Amino acid sequence: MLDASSSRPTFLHTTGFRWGVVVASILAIVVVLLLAFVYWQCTTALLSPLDSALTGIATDLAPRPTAQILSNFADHTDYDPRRVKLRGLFDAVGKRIGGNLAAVPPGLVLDGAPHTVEAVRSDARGTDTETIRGVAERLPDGRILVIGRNIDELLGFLGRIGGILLLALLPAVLLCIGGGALAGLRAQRRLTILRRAASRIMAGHLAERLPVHARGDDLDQLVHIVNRMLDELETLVHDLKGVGDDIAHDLRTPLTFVRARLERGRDHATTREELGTAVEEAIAGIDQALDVVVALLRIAEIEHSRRHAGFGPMDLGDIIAEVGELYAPIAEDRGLRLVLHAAAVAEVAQVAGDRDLLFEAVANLVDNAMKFTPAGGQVTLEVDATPRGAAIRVTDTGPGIPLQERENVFRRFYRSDKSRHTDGVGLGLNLVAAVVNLHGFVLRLGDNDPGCVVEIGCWQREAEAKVVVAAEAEA
Amino acid sequence: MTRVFLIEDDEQTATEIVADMKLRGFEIERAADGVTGLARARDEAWDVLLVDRMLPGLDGLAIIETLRNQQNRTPALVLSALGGVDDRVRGLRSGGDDYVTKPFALAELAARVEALLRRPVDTRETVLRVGPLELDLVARKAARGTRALDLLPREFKLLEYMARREGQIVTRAMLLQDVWNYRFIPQTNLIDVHLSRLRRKVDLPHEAQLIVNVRGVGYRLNAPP
Repeated sequence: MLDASSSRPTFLHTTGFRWGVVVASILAIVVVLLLAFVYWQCTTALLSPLDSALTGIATDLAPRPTAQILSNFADHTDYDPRRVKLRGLFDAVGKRIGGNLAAVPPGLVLDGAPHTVEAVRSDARGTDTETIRGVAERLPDGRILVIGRNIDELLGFLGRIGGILLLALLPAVLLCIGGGALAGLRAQRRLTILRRAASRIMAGHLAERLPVHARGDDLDQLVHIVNRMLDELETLVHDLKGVGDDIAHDLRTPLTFVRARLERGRDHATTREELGTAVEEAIAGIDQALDVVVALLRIAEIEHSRRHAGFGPMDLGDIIAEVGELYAPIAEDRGLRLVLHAAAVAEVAQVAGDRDLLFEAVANLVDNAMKFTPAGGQVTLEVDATPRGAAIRVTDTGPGIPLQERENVFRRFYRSDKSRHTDGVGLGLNLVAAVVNLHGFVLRLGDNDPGCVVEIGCWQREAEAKVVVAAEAEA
Repeated sequence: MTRVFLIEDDEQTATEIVADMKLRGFEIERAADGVTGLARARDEAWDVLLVDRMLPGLDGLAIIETLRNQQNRTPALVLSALGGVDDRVRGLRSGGDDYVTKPFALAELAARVEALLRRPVDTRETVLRVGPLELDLVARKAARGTRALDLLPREFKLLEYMARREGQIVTRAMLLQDVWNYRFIPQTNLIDVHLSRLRRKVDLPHEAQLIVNVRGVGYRLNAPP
């Protein structure tokens, strides 16, 4: 058997931990994507007005003559306190005609679209390298026009934004991990609760059930199934325990008698005959105990033989006729009338099953009916065609079974108080129940007023239906 | 003297069976495991074998099967703690002649051993006679002396079964199994009731008793001395 404590998984392998990691990762990815999007949007917002201004200027200047271009250059570069405007006009081989750019910035494609490149400024105040946003265009006569703007300031601003976003990322990721941990712990706590409950059940507290959440998720459904399984198991164990008690009781009775009888014989028998009588009675007592054992073994055998290979067609009419023949002398002996009825429709009485076992079951029912019916009474054995199929019915005029006891009579060894004085091992009906159960048939107890009706319905009961006993009040 | 060979590993059961069979006048020897059991069953001459189903070394059914394959026809009775129908069928199919389920009464065992030793009278006979009793197997009619017996079909079968085993004890379980073909034990005294009805028809109050109740064991059909 598994020991719950030793097989507990390390934390890294728990579903809770894994779930936590998954949640945290997803949250983190979402946060990073979000921040990246914000950064990208900022960049676009800052660059696009600049870009349209640059391309606007380039488009405007391109068709003009060199002098006009250079004069325009001067207008801009002369009044440029922040020193951000860059202009350049070059001839076809790249030699400077005018402007404040030392050369066509390497890497700047001549396609009239804005690009970010490194450029060298060269004017009266000196030479230095700057990062610019620039537009370059080859004019129809081969000259190259370059319009640019220093974006160092802008880049610094974007850097600030990036820094702020990165700063925001830290608490966001912490939040993600926290959220993941919370989700993981919740899942883990639920599993821990389930595991504790399961351990208690394994420790023998069979009445406990796994706690169910109202969520109805797949774990809950699983828990529901396990709980239903536990219900079944509890019933079985309960029955088994009951059986154990019953066996102990029904064996103790004859054995106590045997012991007492032998003791009395040993201490008080004065003749060989008296001793012989004591032994005879003791043997009879032992036989009674053996009968209990044999009957129990037989029931266990039927209950455990889940094979249907021996099933073949049976004629219910034949079976009741044979049972009738077997019990006719008994009925006569006891002053009872045994009446047989077979349904008129012959084919209805053809049912698949184990003929010997069904015979045994019906014989037990008749046996029982005769045992409990007082002299002058009647036992009726019939095969009836019902809308659902053929049914074997045994009816007597005995004391009947009170409504509240009907469930109980199929418990092993149960004997109603009214019949405590009647002989019999008390296992007959259990055997019937076992046979009916094996076939998947339906067993019903009813009232004959006075007396009792037991019916074996030879049709398949629904899978969900109660195992055997459909003790019902007659409407 | 009849020689019985018991192959049984359980000490207590074996002791009881040996003691009981000796008291009943049998010569009985015993082996405690399958291998010696098979060797002795094969090499010595026995009248009946009693073989436990579950044995250390070699399974009881395997022993019987081996013997039968070697043309050894010694009657064999299988003793088993398993009461399953399948088991019984398997026991008989492997060559066993009869099968009793533990726990059994020693008287039951003895009766079945007797039955194995004295196989029923040849079935080719068309008339069976036991003292004044005469059974016509073709016409299915029975008579005691000049008095015709009015028997139901099952009663005739019952009387025939007993007549074939004249002087031999037949137990209730044997009757139930062989005459009615049932293998369950009814709670009421079914067999006794059927037997007493048959007896009322066969033995009238002033006549010598042919059907005898053997207390605690079964019945016997005796020819009057």
